[in-house]
Amino acid sequence: MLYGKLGQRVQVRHLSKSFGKISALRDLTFDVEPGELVAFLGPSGCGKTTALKTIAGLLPGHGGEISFGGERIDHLPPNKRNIGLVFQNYSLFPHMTVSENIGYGLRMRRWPLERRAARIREMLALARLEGLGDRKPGQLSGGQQQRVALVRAMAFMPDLLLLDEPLSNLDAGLREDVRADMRNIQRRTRQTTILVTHDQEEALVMSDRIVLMNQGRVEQIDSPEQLYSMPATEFAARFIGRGNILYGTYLRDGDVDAVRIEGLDAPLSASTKAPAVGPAGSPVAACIQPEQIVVSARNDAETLKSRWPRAFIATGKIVDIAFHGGSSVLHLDVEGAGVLKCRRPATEVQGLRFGDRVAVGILDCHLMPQSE
Amino acid sequence: MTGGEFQESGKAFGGSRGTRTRANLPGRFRTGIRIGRIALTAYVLLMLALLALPIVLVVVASFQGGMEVASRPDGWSLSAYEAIPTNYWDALWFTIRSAFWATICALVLAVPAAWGLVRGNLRERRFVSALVLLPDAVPSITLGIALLALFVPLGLSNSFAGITVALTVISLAMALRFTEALMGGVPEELEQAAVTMGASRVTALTTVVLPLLAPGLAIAALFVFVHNLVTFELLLFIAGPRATPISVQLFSDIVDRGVLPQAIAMSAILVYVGIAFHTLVAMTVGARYLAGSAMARKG
Ligand SMILES: Nc1ncnc2c1ncn2[C@@H]1O[C@H](COP(=O)(O)OP(=O)(O)OP(=O)(O)O)[C@@H](O)[C@H]1O
Ligand SMILES: [Mg+2]
Repeated sequence: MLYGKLGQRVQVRHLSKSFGKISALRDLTFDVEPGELVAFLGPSGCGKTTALKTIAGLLPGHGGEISFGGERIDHLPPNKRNIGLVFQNYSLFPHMTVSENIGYGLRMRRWPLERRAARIREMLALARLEGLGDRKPGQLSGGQQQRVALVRAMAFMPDLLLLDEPLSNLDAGLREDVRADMRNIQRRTRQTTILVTHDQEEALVMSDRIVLMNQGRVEQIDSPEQLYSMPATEFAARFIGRGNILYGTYLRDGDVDAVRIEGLDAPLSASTKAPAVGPAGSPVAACIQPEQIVVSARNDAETLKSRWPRAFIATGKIVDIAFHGGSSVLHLDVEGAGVLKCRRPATEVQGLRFGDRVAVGILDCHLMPQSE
Repeated sequence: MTGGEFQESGKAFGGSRGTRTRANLPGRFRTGIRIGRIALTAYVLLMLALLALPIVLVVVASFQGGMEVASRPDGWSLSAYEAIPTNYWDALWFTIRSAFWATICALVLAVPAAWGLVRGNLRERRFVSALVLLPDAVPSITLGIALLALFVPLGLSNSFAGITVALTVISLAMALRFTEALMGGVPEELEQAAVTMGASRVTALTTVVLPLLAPGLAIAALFVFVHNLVTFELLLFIAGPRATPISVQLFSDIVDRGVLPQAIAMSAILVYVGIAFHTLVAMTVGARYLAGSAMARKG
């Protein structure tokens, strides 16, 4: 037992909560495996904080079940649930030192003094705060405060750690460092964790799985890779927000999926589709990742055709081009399809200029049901 | 509790405005502003004089043995203080004791009540908050009569307990307004954090909320105590020979025998006590809090 015990599986079933007429959570069901970091991702007001507070027991009067290792805990008051919670603004006790803050949960659990001191030292080391134990929170930087809040909530070995937008109070520069720190601490301790965020990148980078929420409901639960490459719904695709989305009709030709887009003279082939797509002929949204669009430097379609025989070829014009380190991002005004975003290795698009006419190839897309 | 910063920023604003106008405004307008500033300064000084003059008058008179200040510029002495009879000292001590206990009781009652009002999200909160203001809206003399009617059958009139209870009741309003404002300034999330770490709600209150409230409560206690010390109308009817607050004692003596030097001296002592307490609090918790609490009280 280096940092803590390996937790238990967390199961949440049909969780619901309303504030008067507003139902903030509807039938929320998910599991968190021991040692896993799950992100709640969703737009503002979709119920992420409500979900966390309900799980922590701070919002009584909800429906559904919460259990740790098969044992129901939703009837327990918040101080008996053994859940660590880190608030957006950290909520460190300003009148206590860093050590006293970290030791608070241990004091409440009546740990003997020596064991408490040892645990506080361990936590200070984990958060790289050695020597700062006697400071007051007000004398720490934002990043240090954040780490104190994190280890304070972990010190008493909770079965589940809840983090509500833990990075949103930090400046952009610091955020990446702290994010790496947090991920590192979580991996080393194998602390079962739920992280709330509305930042897709944060969720993609940090979590083992993502619970994508929309208006109090689960939209999709998947690994970051799955969510990114195969969003289940148009909402998911838009929220993850990298792809180009076009509307069309689902075509099925033998084993091959494709989509007919209004305005394009040939169908686009689709290698993947979400399970909820209806039968052939139903309306679909097609998500084209920027990496799945190619351009030809010399305005000749033949090169593209020979290199990518299955690609859909059209003509377009570069309306924006920006160099991003190893890759370049182009915005192409494609005939019949509108402006599409394309990302290629910088070497491949060398010599292309703003305003150039180019041949555009669409290699692949992913199909999803349209959202109303 | 931002009263201190408030004042500072106000000062800074006034200063910068002054320099800017001097730099780039035409002459006549500038003169106008200068006259305006002089008038404003005079106005402020006048207000201060009106506030401080009666107090200064009492203090000066206490060293001169009478209210006819101008007539005897020479006779500075402590004779008026020496002439204070023991029943005055008894009355003062009585008042201090009962004001002290009333202050403690009021705060002890007010903290949980304020906690309930602020955290309980009671729908009745606004009603209760308004109800608490009632003693301010009703003349104290009316409350005094009501207390008399209530206390006589209970045997509480003309007793230390009766006076203390009366003071507790009246200071509860003030104490509750203070503690409500103070409690509102402690983020609920601190309590929630404590609770998720295993504290019961009461433990969260005593280990997190109360320590954070402590400086503010000290100020509240000061105001309530000084207020209790000089309460008069409320106690006029329920006081008696066995329970005489100093205010009632002075009143009846002055009515019976006129403004005697020892009464003036005792009034001056009340002034000293008030100033001493303000200084004490200003020194222990800082003048910033003094300004802050005054704001909170108004709010
Ligand atoms: N105490 C409350 N009383 C009434 N409605 C509430 C309350 N708390 C939250 N809500 C409502 O419930 C919904 C979900 O709120 P919640 O705070 O959980 O959203 P969120 O996903 O955390 O948003 P954000 O990203 O902005 O923090 C919102 O519509 C909100 O207005
Ligand atoms: Mg939130």
